[in-house]
Amino acid sequence: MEKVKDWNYKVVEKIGQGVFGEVYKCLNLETGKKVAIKMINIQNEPEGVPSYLIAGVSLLKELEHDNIVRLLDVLTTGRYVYLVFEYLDLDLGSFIRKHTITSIRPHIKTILSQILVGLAYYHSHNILHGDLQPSNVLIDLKSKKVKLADFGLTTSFGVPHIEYSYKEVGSPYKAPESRIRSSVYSTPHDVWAVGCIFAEMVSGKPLFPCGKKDHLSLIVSLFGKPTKETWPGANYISDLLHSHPQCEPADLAEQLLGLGLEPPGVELLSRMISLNPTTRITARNALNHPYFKDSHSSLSSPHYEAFGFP
Amino acid sequence: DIDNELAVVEYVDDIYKFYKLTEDEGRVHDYMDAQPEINAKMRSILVDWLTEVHRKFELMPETLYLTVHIVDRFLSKETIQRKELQLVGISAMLIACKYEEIWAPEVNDFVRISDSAYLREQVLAAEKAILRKLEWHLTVPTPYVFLVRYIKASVTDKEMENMVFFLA
Repeated sequence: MEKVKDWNYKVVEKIGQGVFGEVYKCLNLETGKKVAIKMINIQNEPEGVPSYLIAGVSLLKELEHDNIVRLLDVLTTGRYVYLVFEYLDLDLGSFIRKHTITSIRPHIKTILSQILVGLAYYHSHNILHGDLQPSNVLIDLKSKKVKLADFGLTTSFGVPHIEYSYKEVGSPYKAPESRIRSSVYSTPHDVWAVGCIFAEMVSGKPLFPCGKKDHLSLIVSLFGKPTKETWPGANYISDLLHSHPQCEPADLAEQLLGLGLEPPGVELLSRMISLNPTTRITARNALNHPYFKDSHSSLSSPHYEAFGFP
Repeated sequence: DIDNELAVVEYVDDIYKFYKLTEDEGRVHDYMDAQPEINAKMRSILVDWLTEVHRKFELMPETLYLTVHIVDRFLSKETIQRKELQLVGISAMLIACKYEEIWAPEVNDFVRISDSAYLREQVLAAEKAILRKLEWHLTVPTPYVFLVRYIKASVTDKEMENMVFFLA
């Protein structure tokens, strides 16, 4: 790494390589706290600092919430921009992989509600997360906090954007409307992803695993083809679906009930992964859903009931 | 706006609450006394010129408000020489365009419009210097975001609307 003024960090290890740069786990030498530093190369940009970076970083700077990983600092040199984020060691993806679904079950409600609180905060600030998936949901075992991370860059839906498509590539958490070029990319997209994460916590495996079949056929095999009734705007998706065989929707509710999810949870999930983005539940309304009723008091207060992780 | 998905009706109140909340943070104090080489007259000439450039490039109204805001915030934090004032102006507009516009004009367009008074390297360096000084804090409620809402709420004609934006 180059020499940077005000650089108080020691690199521990490289933890990621994204489209826009490398991510390092580092130690803040003053505070002893762990941080994640994303290093973005801007020296070969003919038009100067790229617009996605200008819009993205200034939006991230605004986010200050218990359930969102904080952008602590931005260091700018002639060649690089360094984004210094708060860092937590455990992510929901590894948490799900490491534990059995029975041991995860008691924690689902708290984790889900914190994800939704964080997301509602994003949305009320005119910002989309755009890349929600278990590896972007970080867990702090000590404080029992769940924090949404995005070491990529968020997009604002107030700001027109053409740069988001990189996030779409191959993510099993993307909503069906993202397959429609002309469709608006807005808050329901994030809620769909939370629904997928919810289902993954219940069943221990991704709702729409990537790999075997293409994403859209998996969605169709779960819901059946969208009709004029279930998704009035979906006639433009019908071309895409033409090659897909007509099939009966699988009974997801049955499966989830079998896995120990209470009926209100099944109902909430079905509203989060509603095919039609305009009828999908919002993050804020999801928090008022009866599923959270027994833990409702803990939602309004900043401190959540302790959840003892195994 | 109920039928416009992008208007996110449900969150509108919150978004404006947030704008109102952050309004003070972004407010610029009077900095001219701290600037030995420039004065209010020069600033107003710069703003007039930027307005002209803004019109020529056919940019969105938000962009102009943000440009002026960036200029003011930068000048309240950094003492500059007289000959750098226009450079700050075009670099601020470059940043504002990248923030607000779908297609920002190119750096060379900005160099050309200022009669090649500065090199493109100078514009790019100034861009970074401004971002660093403002700590990348650009999501600020300029007068424009409030005016849009007031106008929407008070059903006026187009002429009135233009008048309001001009006075701001």
